[in-house]
Amino acid sequence: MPEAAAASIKEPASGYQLRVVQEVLLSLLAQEASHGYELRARLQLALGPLAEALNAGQVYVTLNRLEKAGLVTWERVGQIDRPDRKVYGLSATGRERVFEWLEDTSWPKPAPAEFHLKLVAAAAAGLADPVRLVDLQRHALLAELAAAQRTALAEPDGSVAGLLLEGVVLRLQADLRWLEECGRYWTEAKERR
Amino acid sequence: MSAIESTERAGSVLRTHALEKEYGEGEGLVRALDGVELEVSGGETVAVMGPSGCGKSTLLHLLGGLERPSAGEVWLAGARVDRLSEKALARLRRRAIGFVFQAFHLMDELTALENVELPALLAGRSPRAARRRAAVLLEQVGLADRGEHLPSGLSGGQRQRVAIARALSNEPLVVLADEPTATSIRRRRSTCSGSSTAFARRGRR
Repeated sequence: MPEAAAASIKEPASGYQLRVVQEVLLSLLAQEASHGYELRARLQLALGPLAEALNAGQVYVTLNRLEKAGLVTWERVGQIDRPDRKVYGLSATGRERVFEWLEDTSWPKPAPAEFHLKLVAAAAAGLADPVRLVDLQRHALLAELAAAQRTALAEPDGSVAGLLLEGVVLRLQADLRWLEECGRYWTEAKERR
Repeated sequence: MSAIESTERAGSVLRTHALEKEYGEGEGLVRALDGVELEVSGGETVAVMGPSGCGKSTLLHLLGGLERPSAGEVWLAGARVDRLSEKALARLRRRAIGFVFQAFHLMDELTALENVELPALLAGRSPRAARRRAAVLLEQVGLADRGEHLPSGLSGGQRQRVAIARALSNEPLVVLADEPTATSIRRRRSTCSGSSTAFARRGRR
């Protein structure tokens, strides 16, 4: 797969970015060998409505990368009346990677650090008003909160995707509270100048 | 709007004593507030009226903990709040105070219902509970059939009522409204150029 194609994978605007598609696909393959279409369906089921964040081609692109990295193997399986399909399985290295991933306790980097540096940089260089940046960010996160709410209301009670949504919402709550603190700090900083 | 129009008297919910606020210093000193005594009881609506620049918004900001007074006291539900830490003030604003700002600050891309339910979601209510509550509030302000409308599809007065419903979302002790000049809060429109209103809900505690 040429690099250009990989780079063209659009990041979802909604913010539920999946950085771990590789690992999730590997773990699905650890369960049983499977083909691209089925893997995509299983992934979608687990993500529920958040699966929209998954670009249609992402599963296939990722499988290609995994293949190049030697983490998956595949064999061609013939079908009646249809073209052959590739059935993927896990290589020994792939299996190792899955277990490393499951035990790995690193947590996705929280938004505060990056955003904080952005505000500090904006203020120091006089490039932008940090208070305005905070307002913009708050607006964006509130829109995400509303989107998560829309999704949550469409989910049946007790669904596994509902649990994921709860995490999304709790994270947004925390971020919005912190933004409130940022807004106050930079408003005061402006008054001190 | 029973919470708003109730005339039931309860104890003092919001109170100030000798409240002062000054901006600037020396030649540029501006005394925005000078010895304000205010008492709002549960269920009572108080409108503060006066010409532009007379300190109405400043008073509202002090009452709501958005700014700190230069001197004097602000009491909410029996507790002094003007000296709280920033963190405690933020919590207080989230839980006990509803704001209706001049510009309403509704989000254009969200429906009326979605705008109203945001504070409840932020306060940790479940998706369905927040939605139910938002629907009830919209009904209370007479906009039950406008829930799915975007702000752009509502009149100015309707947008204001959405902002009021949103301010009531977390059952605040008091609602502070800046320039509620439309007729929705009080039917009697003031002839002054502006007003600020504080209404205290019937005592919750």
